Order: sequence, then structure tokens, then C-alpha cells
Amino acid sequence: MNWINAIVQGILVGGLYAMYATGLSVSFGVMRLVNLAHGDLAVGAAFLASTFCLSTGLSPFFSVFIILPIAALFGIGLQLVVFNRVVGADPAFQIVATFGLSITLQNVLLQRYAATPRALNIGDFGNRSLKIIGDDVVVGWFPLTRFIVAIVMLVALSLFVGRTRLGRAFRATSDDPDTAKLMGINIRSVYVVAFAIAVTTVAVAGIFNGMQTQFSAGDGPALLIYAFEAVIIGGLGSLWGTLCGGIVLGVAQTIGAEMDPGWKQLVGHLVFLVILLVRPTGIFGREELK
Amino acid sequence: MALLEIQHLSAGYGQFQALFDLSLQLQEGQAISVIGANGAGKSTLLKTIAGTVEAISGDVLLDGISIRARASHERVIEGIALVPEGRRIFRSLTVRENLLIGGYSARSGPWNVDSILEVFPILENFIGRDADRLSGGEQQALAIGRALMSNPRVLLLDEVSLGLAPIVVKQLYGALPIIRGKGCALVIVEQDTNQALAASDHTYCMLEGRISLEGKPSELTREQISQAYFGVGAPA
Repeated sequence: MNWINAIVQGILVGGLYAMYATGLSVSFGVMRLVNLAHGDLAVGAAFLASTFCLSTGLSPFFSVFIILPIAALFGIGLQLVVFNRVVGADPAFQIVATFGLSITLQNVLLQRYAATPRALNIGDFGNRSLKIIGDDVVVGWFPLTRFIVAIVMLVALSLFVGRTRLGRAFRATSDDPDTAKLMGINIRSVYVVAFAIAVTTVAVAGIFNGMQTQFSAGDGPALLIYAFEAVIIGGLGSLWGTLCGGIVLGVAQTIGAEMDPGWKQLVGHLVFLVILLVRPTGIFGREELK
Repeated sequence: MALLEIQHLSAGYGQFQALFDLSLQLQEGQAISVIGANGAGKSTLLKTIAGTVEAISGDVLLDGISIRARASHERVIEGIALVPEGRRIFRSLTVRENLLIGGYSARSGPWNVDSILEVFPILENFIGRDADRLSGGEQQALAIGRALMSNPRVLLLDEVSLGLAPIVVKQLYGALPIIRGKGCALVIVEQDTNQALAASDHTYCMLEGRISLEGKPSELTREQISQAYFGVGAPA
């Protein structure tokens, strides 16, 4: 029964990884931009939420109403000022720009909040749980909520990309940006919207991560690795693949932890490497790698 | 006043110059063809008009107003649409979505999904399917339909016949008079000289980035065209 519990917990953790990975999947899918500062943006959002909670005394859940619009505006500004200059250019410029942003964000956070870890307090809600199969399979309300939020986020994004005019422009730009321009699409504007979505979704992930565990200014790169692994396992640019990738990673980690508490990260990384070896395009990947 | 006027246009890619001091005109409702061998600069000319290749010097005028500084997506709103060489269909979109995306910045006009399906009824059978599952001819029909969705005043057609069976080419060229009939002027770039001459009122032959010959197709002899096309005895 412990194994079933481990799988269930892994699926729920996968929701958080999918949240992390969604923004990365959007920015890569639309712009072919690999944002190395993705994890730092999540940590930044968690710190902002922490400031909000300390200054208002409200629950971190309320912080999303303030943090998400700030995240969207920050994403718009970043894309306009920095990333629109490097999208479509030599990938080396993208790496330098996003790595530079990562270092800058980490140092700004360190300067502003010091090295002391913080957490977002959600009180008793973090301890409440739901018994699924007796005492053997127990699901926490918080991980369940987080998983549901991840699903809602992905459904909303999927409907946006699949059913709306701007969503079609996203897909057309992703397929062939030069031809998209010939359709009258201002691809720079599409990139701005895409990056605003990417930053907003990773801000949600950062806040949920902060509710679950402590975070500090230097945590961004570790979070980026989980996001990367989930995106690559699921298939680059595929939203539902991202959820699948997050779940595979989460389940691998919890099964690893079940075998030996020290193997949690190791098994996750090994599964990632095996999938990269066996199916380099990821589970839902469409394009063949050359 | 000409609908579209190219004045002393030079353009290229980085250090490589592909067009040299090229001028031509397109009148309202007219169809002109641009013929020439591979590498003559025909596609570069269309890309420069559409704004995907930047001009080095010279000008592109629409209704007498320069559009040289306009980005390619803005030129679509002004009424210029390009059917690119190789079709460039959006693979992850269905046939209907490909048509709809063509109307992303549409002007008002006669073209919509229904009127395009009337001209290219073959697309109706595949309307909900992924566009990458279409044959080459169907994809070309879709590419033309997609460009028409923006209700252009000038439709630029780049190598419509490339890689297609003669019967398919005949069907596609059969649609051009209907398109012209709805008020759209055409610039047809082709290597298939016979098709291009038959479909146009005026033709320009290009050689190494320059106009080597121009005139009404009915007034040009096969010998003149051969010389201008291959460069034998062409003006320097």
C-alpha cells in the first residue's frame, strides 16, 4: 500500500512541477526561448508574496491577486526591454541574457531579503488531509488544491491556445514566425503576451512552493532544473505533455524516496535521463530531432 | 497613379546584393508576371515588397505612398499579401485555422472562409484536418486561400507551380481570373514561363537582379524572352 501512496503523492507533486514547467513550455514553444531565469522568477514571486503577507497579515492565497498582475507586468517589461532583442538571434545571446537576468534577480533578492530562508504560512490548511484508502493512502488538502490549480491553469491555457484568435497566432508563430508575419501578425506582440503568461504561471508555482517549503534567494536554479526535466520528459512545447512530464518526475521522485529517502532526487534525474535517451522528443514531442 | 510602384529598388541578404536598381509598376486590377531563371532575384523582389527582406535603397509605393518603412505585418493591413514559395503552411493548425489565421489582420472585402471554399472546393473535404496532411496541390490552394483571407489589394504569388503536377497547376491558375475579378491585382513570379505569360497582362523578365526585358506577353517573341531569360545578348 505504501507504493500506491507514493504514486498518489508523486502525482500531486507532479502538479507543482507542471506549474513550474508551464511557463518554460510556453516561452520555448512560442519563442524558442530557454529562460534560465525561470526558477528565479518563481522565487522572486514567493518573496513578494511573503512581503505582502507580512505587511497585510492576510493569507498567502490572497497574495495572488496582487502578485500575478505584477508578474504579468514584469514579464511584459522584460520581454519588451530585453528578450525581444534576443529572440530569433543566436542562441548564445539568449543564454547570456537569461543567465544575466538570473544572476541579477538572485542578487537583488539576496540584497533585499538577505540569505535567511522564508516560508509562506498557510496555517492548519497545510496539515489537513483526506483519507482515500484507510490510513494507507492519505492526501493532503494543500497538495490536492495545488494539483487542481495546476489542472485549471493548464485547461485555461489549452483553451486559450486552441480556441482563441490570439492562441492561433501563438501556434502560427511557433510553427513559422516569418510566415506568421505575412499573416499580419505582429510577432513581437505575441512574444510579449507569451512571456507575460510564462512569468504569471511561474509566479503561481513560486507562491505554491513557498506555501509548501522554505525558500531562499539562491533556490531558483534548482527549481529551473525540475521545470526543465518536466518540459523535456513531456515534450518541448506541449502543454499536456508538460503535465505528464511533471507527473512522471514527481512519481519517480516519490518512488525513489520510498526505496531509500536519499534516492528521491537521484531517481527523478535518472528517469529524466532514460527518457532523454529513449525518446529525445519527450512523451508528447512532435518534431523529430535531427 | 499605379497601385504598386517599385522605384529603383536594391535589396539583398547581408553582404549579398540580389536586386539592383529595379523598377516596375502594377496597376489596379492588373496581373503582371516576373519570370527568370533560378537566382534571378524574383523571390527576393516579392519578399522586399512584402517586407520580409529589407531594401538597401529605392522605394516601394502603394497608392503613391511609401511603405518601405512599414513592417511586414503592417503591409498586410495595407493590402499586400504574399503566397510564399514552398507554401509554408502552418503544420500545427487545421485547414480552417490556416484560413482563419490568414484573416488575422483582415481588411474588409469579399474574401472569407466560405468564398475561398467556393474557389477551392477541394479544401472543404479537409477543413477540420491538420494542414500538414494535405497533398502539395491542396497545400498550395490553402496557401493562396490563406493569403486571400486578408482581402489584399495586391496578391504576390511566388512559384505557385513549383513541384506540382500539370493538372494541379492548371486548376490553381484557373482560380486566378476569379481572384482578379474580385478586384485583386496579381504579381506572379514563375519559372514556368508559359503559365506566367498566359496569366498576365504585362511581364518582366529578370536576370541577375535586374529587369532584362519587359512588355506585353503577346508582343514578346520567344527569342527575345530566351535571350532575356538566359542572358544571351541581354543588356549589361
